[in-house]
Amino acid sequence: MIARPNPSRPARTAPETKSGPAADDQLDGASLGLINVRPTPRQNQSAIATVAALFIAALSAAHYASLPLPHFAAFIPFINATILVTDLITAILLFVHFSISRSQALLILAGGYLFTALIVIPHALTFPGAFSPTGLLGAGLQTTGWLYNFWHLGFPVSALLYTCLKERNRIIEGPLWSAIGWCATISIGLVLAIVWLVTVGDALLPRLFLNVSELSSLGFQVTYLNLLIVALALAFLWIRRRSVLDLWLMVVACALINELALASVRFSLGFYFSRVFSFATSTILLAVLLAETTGLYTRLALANMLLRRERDNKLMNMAAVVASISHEVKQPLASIVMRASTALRFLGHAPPEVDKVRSSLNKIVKDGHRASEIFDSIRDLFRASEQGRVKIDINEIILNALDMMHWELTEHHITVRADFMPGLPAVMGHRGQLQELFLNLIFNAIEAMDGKSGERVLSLKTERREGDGLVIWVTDTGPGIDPKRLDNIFDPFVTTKPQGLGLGLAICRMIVERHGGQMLASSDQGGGAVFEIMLPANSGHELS
Amino acid sequence: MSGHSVIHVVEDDEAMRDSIVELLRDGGYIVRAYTRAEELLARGATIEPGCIVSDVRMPGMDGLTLLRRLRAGGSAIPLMLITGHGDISMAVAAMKAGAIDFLEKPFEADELLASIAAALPAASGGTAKGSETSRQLLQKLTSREYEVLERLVSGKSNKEVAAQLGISPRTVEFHRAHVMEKMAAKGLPELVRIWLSADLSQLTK
Repeated sequence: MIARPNPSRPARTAPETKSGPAADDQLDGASLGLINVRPTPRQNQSAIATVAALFIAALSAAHYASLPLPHFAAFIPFINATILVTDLITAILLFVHFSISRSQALLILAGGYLFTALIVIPHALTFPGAFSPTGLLGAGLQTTGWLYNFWHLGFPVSALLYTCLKERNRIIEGPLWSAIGWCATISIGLVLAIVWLVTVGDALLPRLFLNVSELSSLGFQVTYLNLLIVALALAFLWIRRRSVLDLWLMVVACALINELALASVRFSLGFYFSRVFSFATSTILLAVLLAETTGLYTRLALANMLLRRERDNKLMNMAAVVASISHEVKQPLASIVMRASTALRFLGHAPPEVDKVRSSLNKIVKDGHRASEIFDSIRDLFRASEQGRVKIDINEIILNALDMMHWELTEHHITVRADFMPGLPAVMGHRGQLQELFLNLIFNAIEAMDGKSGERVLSLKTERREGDGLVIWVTDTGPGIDPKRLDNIFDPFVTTKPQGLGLGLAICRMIVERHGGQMLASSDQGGGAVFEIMLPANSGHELS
Repeated sequence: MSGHSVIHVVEDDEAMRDSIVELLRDGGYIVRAYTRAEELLARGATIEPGCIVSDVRMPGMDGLTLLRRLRAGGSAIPLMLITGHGDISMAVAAMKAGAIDFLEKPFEADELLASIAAALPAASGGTAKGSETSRQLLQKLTSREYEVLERLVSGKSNKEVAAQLGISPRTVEFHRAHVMEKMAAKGLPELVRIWLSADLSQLTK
C-alpha cells in the first residue's frame, strides 16, 4: 500500500513551500486576492482621496480642539457599540479570508480587530458618567484612560505583526477551527487581563487623568507614544506595501493618527471629533472588505461558470462521441444480422437458393469490413490529436486540474492534500490529455467520497522514480475498490455509478499508456482507493 | 401468402435498406425503398396501401415526424419503426403517436416478417381483446416489478431506474428478467407494446 508522508499537511501548504514559484502563483490565483492583488490606479486614487479628506477634517477641527462642549456621556456607549459591531464584522471577514489563504499574517490582523472590538465594551462600561457616575466594573479614575490606550494599541501592533509576517508567507497548518480558536482565545484573554489590570491595579497605574475630564502631562505623553507606534506601523506598511489590503490598512493608520492627535480634554470639540474618527477607523476596512469580497465573488463566480462550462463540454463531447460511434457501428452490424438471417431463409427454400446465399454472404463480408473501417477511422481521429507533444510539468498539470475542480471539492467538503516533489523531470506529452486524466481521477474521487461520512481527503503525491521516471499517487478516503473488481476496473463500461458510462478509468488508462506509462489501482489500508500512475520522463528535459 | 401488399422501406443506410428489401421481396411483398422520409411523404395520396417500415434516426426528417405528418395528412397506413439502441424513449413516443410497432436493431429476418404480417391491415382486429390480456399480464407483477417496468418503458436505462428507485443496477436487471418472464416478452419492444396496449389511462379512470 501507499505510504503517505506528512499526512497532517493541509492542502494548500505543500505546493507553496515545496515547489517552485510557478506553483506559488497558481495557488495565489485560486485563493482570494485581497492579500495578493496589487491595487489598481483607481483604488490608489480613492485611498489618497480618503486620506486627504481625513486630514482636512482633522486640520479644520484642530484649531478648536480644546473648545468645551456640553457633557454628553451617552455618546461613548453609542459610538463604542457601533465600533463593536463594525470591528467584529471586520474580524469575521478577515477570519474568512484567513480560512481561504491560511496566511498567518491575516490571522493576526483578524485577532487585532477582534481585540479592538472587545475592548470597547469595558471602555464604555467604565467610562465615568456613561453607566454610572464613576464607571462600572469597579473602575478608578485611570481605568478608562488606560483602556483607551490599550485599545488604540490593538490596530498598530497587529498591523506591525501583519507587515512583518506577510512577506514570509507563513501558512498555518492543521485544522482551521483550532487556529481561529487559539487566535480568539488570545484576543479575549488579552482583553480580560487588561481589564483586570486597569481595574484592580488602578491605584498602582501611572496617572493619565488629573480629574474626570482633564489629561495629565503623562496622559498626553502616553497618547503621543501611542501615536508614534501608529506612525511606525504606517511606515512599515508603506515600505512593504503590495496589496489592496496594505493600501487600506495605511488609510486606517492615517485615520488613527488623526484620532489620537485630536484626543484632548473630555467633552471638548476635539474629544467628540476624535471619537468620530475612531468610528471611521473601524469602518474603512469593513467597507473595503465588503466591496472587495463582493467584487472577488463576482469574478470567481464568472470564472467558475466558465470552468464548469469547459468541463461539461468535455463530458458532453464524450457522451456524444460514444453515441455516434455506437450508431455508426450498429448500422453494418444490423445489416449483417439481417442478411445472415435472410440467407438462412434462402437455404431453407426447396431447392436451396445457393446463388442468393452466396450473394448475401459476399455482402456480409463487405459489411464486416465496413464495421471495422469505422473503428479505424475513430482511431485515426484520436491519432491526429497525438501531434504536438510538449514538455510538461506534471505538478503544474495536477494543480490546474485541482483548480478546475476547486468548487466541486469545496462543495463536497473535501480536503486536498498535495505533496509534490519539486524539480520533477519533464514528461513529453499531450497537455489536454494529461489534464483530462487528472480531471477524471479527481472527479472519480469526489464521486467515490460522496455520501460518505467522516473525513473526506483527496491526496495527490508526486515523486521522482529511479531511472528517469515519475510516479503519481491519487488517493481518496471513499469506500475503496471491491477486491473482486480490481481486475476489470479499467475495462470500458465497467461502472458502479448510476449515471456513469464507465469510460472514465478506461480513458485514463488509455492516456497513461499512450504516454508510455502504467496505471495501477489498489485499495488503501484506510479503505479508500489508490491510483498509481507511472510515467516515463526524459532526463534531457529538466524543468527549470 | 401476403397477396399484393406493398411495404414501404424508409432507411438512409444503404446496406441496411438493401438487406431489408431483399428479405421482404423474398417474403413475397412488393417493396418500395426510400432513402429519406421526405421522398415517401412527397408521394402523398399515391402511396399504395400496405405498411411502412421506417428508421427512426435519419438525416433530414426523422421517423417520428414522418408518422405525425402522415397522420396529420389523414393517412392511417400502419407504420413500424426500427431503432438503434438508446432511441427507446423516441420509439415509445412514436407508439403513443400511433406507430404500430418498433424493432430494435439488430433484428432477424423472421422478427421483421412476423411484425409486418401482424401489422398489415388484413391481420389486424382484436386490439380490445389484446388490451384485456395485457392488463391481466400486468396484474401478475409485484409492485416493485411494476415500478421497474414503468420506468423501463418510458425509455430509462437500467442504471437510471436503479438510481431513481435507490436499488442497484443488478437488482434492476433481476426484476427486469422476472418481468420479461411473466409477460412472456422477448425484449423491451414487446414490453412497451404490452404496456401501451394495456392502455392504463383507461384503467385508472
